[in-house]
Parts: sequence; C-alpha cells; structure tokens
Amino acid sequence: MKSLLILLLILSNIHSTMIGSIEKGRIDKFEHAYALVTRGDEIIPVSKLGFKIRKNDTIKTFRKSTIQIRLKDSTVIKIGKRSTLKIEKYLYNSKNGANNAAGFKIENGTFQIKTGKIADSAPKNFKIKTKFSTIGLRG
Amino acid sequence: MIKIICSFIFIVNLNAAMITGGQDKLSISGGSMDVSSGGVTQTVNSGQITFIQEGSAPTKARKLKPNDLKDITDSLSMSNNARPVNLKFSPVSHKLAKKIARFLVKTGIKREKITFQQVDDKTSLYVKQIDINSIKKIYPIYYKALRKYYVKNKNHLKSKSKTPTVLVKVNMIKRYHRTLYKKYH
Repeated sequence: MKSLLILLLILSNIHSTMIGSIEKGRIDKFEHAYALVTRGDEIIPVSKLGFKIRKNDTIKTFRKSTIQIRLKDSTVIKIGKRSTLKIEKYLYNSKNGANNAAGFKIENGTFQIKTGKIADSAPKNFKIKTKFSTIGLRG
Repeated sequence: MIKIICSFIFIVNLNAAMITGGQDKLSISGGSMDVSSGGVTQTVNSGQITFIQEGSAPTKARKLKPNDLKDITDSLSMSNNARPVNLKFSPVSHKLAKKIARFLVKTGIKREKITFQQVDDKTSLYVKQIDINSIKKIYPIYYKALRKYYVKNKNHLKSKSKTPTVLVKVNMIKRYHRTLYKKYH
C-alpha cells in the first residue's frame, strides 16, 4: 500500500512538473489578470508574472491582455488578445535531444513562437496546430 | 575572444525560427515550415506568408508585405493600453483632403475614423481616436510630441481627461504631403 502511494505521488509529480513560466505580459485592467489557466478541473486566474506553466495547461487571454511564455528549452510563445493556447505535448531532455517533442494548439487568436532547443534538436517533433491548419518545421 | 563569443551568439540566433500568425494567416522568419490544411501541404520559407481558410488548401506562399501582419503584431503588443489622439487638419481643397484621407487609409488608419467637414469652399479633415503609434511613420514630429505628452500625463488613461487633438497646419501638410499638395492645392 505504501509503495503504491509513493508510486502515485511520483507519477503525479512527473505529470505536473512545470515546463516554463509567464515572463511578460499586458494585464487586462477590467479582469485584473493576464490570463486564465485551465489545469484539469481547476481554473486559475493569473494575476502575477512568473506563473509556472505545466504540460496540458490551457492558457486563455482576455479582451485586452497578452502574455509571453518562456519554456525550459528557450522556446518563447507570445499569445495575443482573446487567444487560447493548449500545451498538448512537451518533452525536453537537454542531454539527449532525440526524443524531444513539442505540440501546441492555438485554438483561437494570434501567436508568435520563437523556437528553442527542441526545434534545434528534433525539428520534426515540433508541431503547432491552429483551428484550420497544422504547422511543422522543416529540418 | 569577444569576436568568438559574438559569432557564437549570432549562430545561435540564426537557428531560431519565428512563426507568427493567427487562424487565417501564417508567416515565418529564420527558417521554413510546412503548413497543412484541407489535405494540402504548402512550404513557407523565411520572409513569406500563406493564407488559410477553413477546409481549403493554404494559398501559395508569397513574400511578406509591410502591413500583412499589422493586425497580429498589434494584438501581440505588450505596451500598455493604446494612447489615443485626434487629428484635425487645416482646411484645404476638397481633392487634397480626399487624397490625404486615402493616404492615411493606406497606412493602416481605419476609414471610419476619418471624417470631412466643409468650411466655405474648403474641406477640413478629422481623424478621431487613433493610437499614437499609428502616426509614428506618417508624422514623426507629432509622434515625438505626443510621446512626451503621455509621459508627462501618465494618468491620462485612468482619468477621464479628453483625448488630445493635434492641429495639422497647412505648412505641415505641405511638408509631409509635398507632391499631393503641389498637385491638388
């Protein structure tokens, strides 16, 4: 029983490790927040910079807010007003880049992504989806 | 040593690709990408743009034009809320006013923000509630003055103070629209 609990704890830790943070942004003065982060069943308003982003988070900006996220591999994602970003996949190992992968879904709005080390080490595993299209980097 | 570090930084920067876009258009700088939509894949190289519509193939990639990504860069802007300004032009001939209005629309100012007012046999042009950044390229002299104004009045946006109005006098029209002025005034 004890070992099962430890295993569950380790698994939940792996699942919830942070992959980056919100480093810049423009606050929506009406909402008093930069964005809303949906994490499982939880909805978290982001009112301070430095908020830690995790895999599978969905980040939604407001009518007048924009944010910039820096991920562990130095990928920088800017999302514009009324935009929604979902981090579907994120695997980064600085020592062995063969299995590195990133998958982002921009469900709404505008974005600007500056690629980082994942795109350098495994460009074919770097994918972006929008409502109507899929983007893949050419190696 | 410094040279080596600088060249290393340059090489690192060269590797990064910058993908900018929205739901209907995508562009890249510093690399190339494949855009798939409606079962068709289109290659977009650095400095090119492609347009996408629901269910249809991406358009053939073409060279990026200056205003192609304006709406997206505006939406991504981190600077604090827009600083508005009104422009009021001194009365000039109706043709010249129309030509100036057309020029302003070309630079990205929305048509509905521009109004005309008849003053005797001349026409005065009004541009309402535009962001000072949009006049940065057109009338740099006003942009500098307005920046100073907004630095001094930091609380302008919080308070209910009036939007500043800039009077674009005839000599300024002559300066910034020389060819139009010669032709139509």
